[in-house]
Amino acid sequence: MNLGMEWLAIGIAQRTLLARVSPGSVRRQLTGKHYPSAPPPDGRRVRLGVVQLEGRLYARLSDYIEQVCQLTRRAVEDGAQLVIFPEDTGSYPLAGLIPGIERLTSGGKGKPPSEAVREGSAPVLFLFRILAPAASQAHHVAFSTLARSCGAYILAGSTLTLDSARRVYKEVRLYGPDGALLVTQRKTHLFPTEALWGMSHDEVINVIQTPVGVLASPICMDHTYFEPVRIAWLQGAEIIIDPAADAARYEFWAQRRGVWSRVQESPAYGVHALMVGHILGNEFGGRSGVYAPLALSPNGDGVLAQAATGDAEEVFCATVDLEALRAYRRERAPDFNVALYRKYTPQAYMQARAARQNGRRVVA
Amino acid sequence: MEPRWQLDGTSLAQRIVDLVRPAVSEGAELVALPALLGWGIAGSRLGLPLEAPYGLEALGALELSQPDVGRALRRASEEATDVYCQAAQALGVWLVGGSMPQVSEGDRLYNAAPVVDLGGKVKGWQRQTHLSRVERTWGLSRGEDLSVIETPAGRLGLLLREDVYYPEVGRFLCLLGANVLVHQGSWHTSGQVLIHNNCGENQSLSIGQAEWMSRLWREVQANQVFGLESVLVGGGYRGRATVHAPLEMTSGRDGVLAQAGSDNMDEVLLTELDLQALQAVVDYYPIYDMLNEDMYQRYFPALYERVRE
Repeated sequence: MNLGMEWLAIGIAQRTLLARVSPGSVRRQLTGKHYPSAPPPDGRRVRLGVVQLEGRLYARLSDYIEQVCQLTRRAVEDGAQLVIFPEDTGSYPLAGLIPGIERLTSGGKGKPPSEAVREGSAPVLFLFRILAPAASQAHHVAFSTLARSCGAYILAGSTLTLDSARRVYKEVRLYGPDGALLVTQRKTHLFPTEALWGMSHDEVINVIQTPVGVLASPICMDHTYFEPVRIAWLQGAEIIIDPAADAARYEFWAQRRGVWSRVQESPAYGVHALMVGHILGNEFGGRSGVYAPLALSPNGDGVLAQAATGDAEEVFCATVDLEALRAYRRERAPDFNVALYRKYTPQAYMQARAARQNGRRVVA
Repeated sequence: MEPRWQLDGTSLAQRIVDLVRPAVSEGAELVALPALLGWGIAGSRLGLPLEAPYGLEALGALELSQPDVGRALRRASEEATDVYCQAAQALGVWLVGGSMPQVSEGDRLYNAAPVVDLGGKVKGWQRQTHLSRVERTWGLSRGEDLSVIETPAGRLGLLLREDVYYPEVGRFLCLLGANVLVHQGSWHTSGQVLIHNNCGENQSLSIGQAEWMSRLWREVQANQVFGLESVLVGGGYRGRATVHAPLEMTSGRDGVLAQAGSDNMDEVLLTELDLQALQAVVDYYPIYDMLNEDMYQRYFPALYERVRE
């Protein structure tokens, strides 16, 4: 297919999918239900609701809406003022709306979809471009309505967005208790497979001051790197959220390499909300958690709360003490060596790039 | 290794030789000594009683910025350097000397560590680049350069004490080519047991695990290099020397290649660093490929400066 034909096909498919996710039908489905009300924030302590979402393909949008609605209600019934969903909440599950998605992701070569997706032979970017407008719209209307209905802040995990050049990004969205979209965050560090698919990354870390704390939400792979979290922290972030979807079985130690480590370096509360389950043969695993600097955790292990399992859908809540964090940060204010950073930024990064051999980092 | 205020360099050199020789006879090519070891000589130079509690705290009361104190520390620094050079030559091994005072031309005082080759020649230095609040009150200055030092065991980057809590340092060192980070730590602890357990799925971290994971373990995972953590024990200090590696290289997938059996006795850990295996990990999961330099340049270092203001 040449480029023009491809974009024509994408355009037609986009419009077909969009017709299946009309905002009116989403709102109608969510109207008339009983919703718990989130307690108003007091600025000192915040109750976080963490959704460990089972990822599965939804062929019917109404089933998806019902699921995220139930999970939100469970969190708010337990007092959550800020509800957090994982990465890909508004993308992978909604790929089920594409007719024949399993066949399409096999790459037309009879491979299992999981293998074709992992090795990059599946037309993932093509499918994401088709899916993005519909997924983005459904995700927005659903979570905006849920936030308003519960009077809660909702970090709605990520969906897919396209820019004017049709590049594809993962984008997290935060909704306020009036349903307003408060801030978005695009992924700034791609997982190698995402890079292989041709996805794009952004270069901005957004931080927002809210009555439930100063929030930032770099996404999944971003937390492998200290830099995006440091950028958020230097801008005042108090709750650093990691919406994640790891295509791997849960491993205790591997998971500690992410936001748990980051909040030890940049003292803040950390929230890890993970997707679990199987989508197109790919296993997602992880044990969601709420973390803190060691000194602010009752057991000294940096863990305030965590899911009971690493492979099942769960909702749990934890209360974080913002006043305690602020006092800790005043007492333990870091003494940055700015002269050192000035000397090596960006020079050290450039030197590392220049030292690569055939594009490969050499450590041996 | 247990710290003591030393009467002279000869006794410190002998302690190092006695402790390290068995490891050398088993093939060790590089030995990393713990933090502050070289300050021991300064104690007698400054008139501290041998039984005084060991550490910079004791020196802190002496107003390190005074000229006579500065002269004494300069002599102690020269003597400690000689100790490490003599020990390395006697043992025929590369040494990462435990940190010691270093006084600059402008009479600024640093905590610094040398790397000495097996011929007894200093191949490089690293000054501590980040100071705790209390270290600042003792008159210490912070280093503003980073060195990567080539040795037979790998390209070393040294993190001294507080530096390990600042991920910038480990990142810069690894970007500059380090494939082995050496952290010299020293912790006064309340006596908690620092045990390394191989955590199962439902096991939680002990306090000790969480502490060492929040230090060099974290740096090693983030930069995909080896990590050697040497520690002081005894005299109010506790800790377990540990050799770290990326999770994928360790049998328990826990990132620990070896760890001392006790947290309060002299011990030398002996481990082989397989750089080819490290390369395989980096090739399989090349996290440096995804560094977002354009974004870092957009925020750094200006954001640090803005926060400081």
